Amino acid sequence: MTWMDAERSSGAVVDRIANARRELLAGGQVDWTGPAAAAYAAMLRDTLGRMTGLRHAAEGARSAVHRHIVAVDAVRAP
Amino acid sequence: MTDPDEGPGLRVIGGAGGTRARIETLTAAAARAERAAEHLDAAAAHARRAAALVEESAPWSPVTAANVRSAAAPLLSGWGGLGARADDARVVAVGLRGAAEVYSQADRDATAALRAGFIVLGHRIGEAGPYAVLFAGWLTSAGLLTAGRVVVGARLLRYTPTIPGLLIRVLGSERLREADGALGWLAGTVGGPGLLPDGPGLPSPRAVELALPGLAAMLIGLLPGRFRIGADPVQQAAVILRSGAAVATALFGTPRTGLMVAPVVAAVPGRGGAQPSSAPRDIADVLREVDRVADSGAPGVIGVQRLDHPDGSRTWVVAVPGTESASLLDAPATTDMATNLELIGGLDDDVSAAVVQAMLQAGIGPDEPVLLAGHSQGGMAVMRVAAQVSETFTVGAVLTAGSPVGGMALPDGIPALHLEHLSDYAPALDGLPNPDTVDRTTVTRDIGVGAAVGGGASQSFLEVITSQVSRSHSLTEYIRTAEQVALLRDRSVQSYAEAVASVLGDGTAEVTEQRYVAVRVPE
Repeated sequence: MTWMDAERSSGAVVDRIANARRELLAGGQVDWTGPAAAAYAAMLRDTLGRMTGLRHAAEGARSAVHRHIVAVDAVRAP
Repeated sequence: MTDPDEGPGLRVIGGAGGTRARIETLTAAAARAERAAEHLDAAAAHARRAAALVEESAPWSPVTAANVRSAAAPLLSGWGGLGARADDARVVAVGLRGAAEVYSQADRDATAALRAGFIVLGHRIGEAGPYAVLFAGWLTSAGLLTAGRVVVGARLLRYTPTIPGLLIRVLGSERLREADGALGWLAGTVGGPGLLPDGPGLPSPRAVELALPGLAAMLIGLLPGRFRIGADPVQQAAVILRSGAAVATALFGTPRTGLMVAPVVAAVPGRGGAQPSSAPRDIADVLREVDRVADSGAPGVIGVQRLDHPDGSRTWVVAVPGTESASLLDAPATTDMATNLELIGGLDDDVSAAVVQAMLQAGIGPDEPVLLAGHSQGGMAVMRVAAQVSETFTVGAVLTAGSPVGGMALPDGIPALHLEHLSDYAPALDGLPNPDTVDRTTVTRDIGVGAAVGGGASQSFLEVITSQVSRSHSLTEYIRTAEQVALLRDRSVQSYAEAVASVLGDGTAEVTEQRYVAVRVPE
């Protein structure tokens, strides 16, 4: 039943992305008017924005993996 | 840079909104970006494992496996997938750390290099002997005299119908005199009415602060034998001067190595030494209390206010005045110049010891927050006390006014506010700027002594200068500064004000005041 691990791994992807978003969200609150720091803080927020798409993709992949596991189980059932 | 939250003539350095705090914010943001990158790397590894496992089972359900491939493709993409976003986060982390480092270096700035240069130069001159010192003095005087001649000559030349005269008139025009930086300074030097430029009086306290380590290094260099110059020559010089004063006391005076601290018995019937007074509401009220203690009639008096709040909690305010005697030899009054040298030199001193004894005698509990406040020498003493008693008492906040505390350490977590006037020399006497840390905020105010203390024609130059110096350091003026600071919306100041409010409460506390007097006695 090793492919059952695929479901756990796809769940871990969603969790890890959520953790990364939390870190970036907190790190993005840089209260600094210096030009270099402001530029990097903007990059950090930009990275955070791009991760919204990844989060949706990870949730979609988890659902797809779940459907695949169910399908495989159905085919392999005696 | 002018902060819109700063008031007129006020400048805030350090504290919760200071450079150090902001640099720490940047470093913290970098650490978070690094952690985000680690999470994204782990997510990418999980995604690859899930994809590989799905491939193993694909023969049983090729359609759903294809759906997984399609859904996972954005995650595993080398261009915009998890790995790429992890790289983005790492780049941001490196950039933020680099920015923090650059700002940190800039924070240390060229002043540190200039200070080091003065120290080396001063020590070299000192070591070369008294003749070298005299020569350096002559050279400096000659240089200043020549510069003065050039300035007067240029200012005379502008009245002549010559091309240089016309150029100097243009350079000294009102518009250019208002310019920032070197151009404005140059225009002010050759422009304006009269033969001499405005403000050729005393050097600024900032210049004194910068030059003082060099002078101290010269003094140390002058001493017989070889003295190694440390990081803080002013502190070393203070120790040497204090040692000299101790020898002089042994030869010409009475050594007083004992210290007695006793409560002052007030003439209020039925209340012993305790006196009722109104509850302090802010730092201006606290400095008013320091002023009242200083005016109590005897030197060496320390004020301790007990605040009993309506909710049953108890807090304290300790008020310590400044220098009250110019004596360098041991005298009964502890608040003298000898104590100043001890405090700057990092030696044990009687005022700090007396404050600790007064706190113990007053019965301050270990969990009862205390606000320590002092003017001038009193500010140095309360800084020393805060560092000494942080394990014994709960120091809620420290307030200093016109005190040279740049070289004095304070334990982490104790918020301190240092009030300084731009024209006050006392805070510059340690030769160090106040550190810009999260816990320590410095507010500098330009009280405009030049404009205000013009004096009449009857006032001599010396009288004007003395009046300026005296007003700049006066506690009355510092109380005015505290009143203005209380209105600031600056983040550092507000963070400090919250710490003060946690000790003072809302002004409804019942106040019991006790004063203690410290006296040196022969043993």
